[in-house]
Amino acid sequence: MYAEIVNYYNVAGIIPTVSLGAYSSGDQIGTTGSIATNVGAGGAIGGLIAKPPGYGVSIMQITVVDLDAQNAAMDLLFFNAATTIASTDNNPMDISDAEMAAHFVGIVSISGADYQSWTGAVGSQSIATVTNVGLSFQCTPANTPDWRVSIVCRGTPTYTATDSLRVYVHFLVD
Amino acid sequence: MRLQASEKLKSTSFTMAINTAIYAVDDLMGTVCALPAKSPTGVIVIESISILDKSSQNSPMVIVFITTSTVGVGTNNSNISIPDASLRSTCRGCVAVSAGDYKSIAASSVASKLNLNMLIPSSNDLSPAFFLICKGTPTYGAATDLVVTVSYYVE
Repeated sequence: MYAEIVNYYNVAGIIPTVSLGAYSSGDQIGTTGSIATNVGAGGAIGGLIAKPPGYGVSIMQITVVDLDAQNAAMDLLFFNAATTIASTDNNPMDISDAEMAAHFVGIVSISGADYQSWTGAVGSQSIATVTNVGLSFQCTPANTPDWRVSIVCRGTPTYTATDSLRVYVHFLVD
Repeated sequence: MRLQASEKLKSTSFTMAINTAIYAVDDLMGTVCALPAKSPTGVIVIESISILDKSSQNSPMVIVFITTSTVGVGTNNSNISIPDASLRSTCRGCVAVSAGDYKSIAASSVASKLNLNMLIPSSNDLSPAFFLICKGTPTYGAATDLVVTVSYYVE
């Protein structure tokens, strides 16, 4: 006998507000993203994902759209609830051991080789797609409304606009 | 995981609308191709992509998946042109095909990208689509010489 598993697909678009100065490896990119809103098939942002406390999440795929083709390697840190990050954008990532122990549930790495880039009529653009991720975790049983993701830079990109980077997290909710 | 025939697997072949002039790196190859199936529950899963190159040009390319076929990406055999806002809002994944992926079969060459498991949002209102960005300098012998077959689950 087994319990029936019901998965709901969703994709969240995270728009880290980047700064225009050069990043260093180990820097935080943007602020911690909250997966409380989702991007539907139409691309519109909005709408809470209906989910009970303690629901499960399986990260299936990460897509990074880099409108400056900086192709920066980065690590995505996933947390099962709201987490206090001491650092700010474009400064070394700083999070306490206690916060990590309490909420960190996994890391997904994007490498420079994951990007496909081109130079088109509107400039250089690139996309990284990492499939078959398979990072699963349970959100905290308390009635937290969402889970979180933070981005740690592992390259030295310089972006030309504050919205040059978008990260899509494709996931199943169970 | 339970394996069960679901009849949700679809394969669609596209004869790309190319021409016989030489392509350059970062040119659009053909036009935007819409997958005909729409998902009532929100997602399709790209499982594999196969390419038949009847001219054996073995061109590397990038296959970009987007959430709708209504996005302008430029014209065939010209430099790709997709606005940042469109790419940012519609792109959900890409697949790279390298020259080394091709195998010669008689006068043709073929390539397959397998085990992709790429999730693309879909709905009853939107058909996911894709377009090709050339990463080589192929010259095809006929306008029907490039065929792309996409196999995917409609969930």
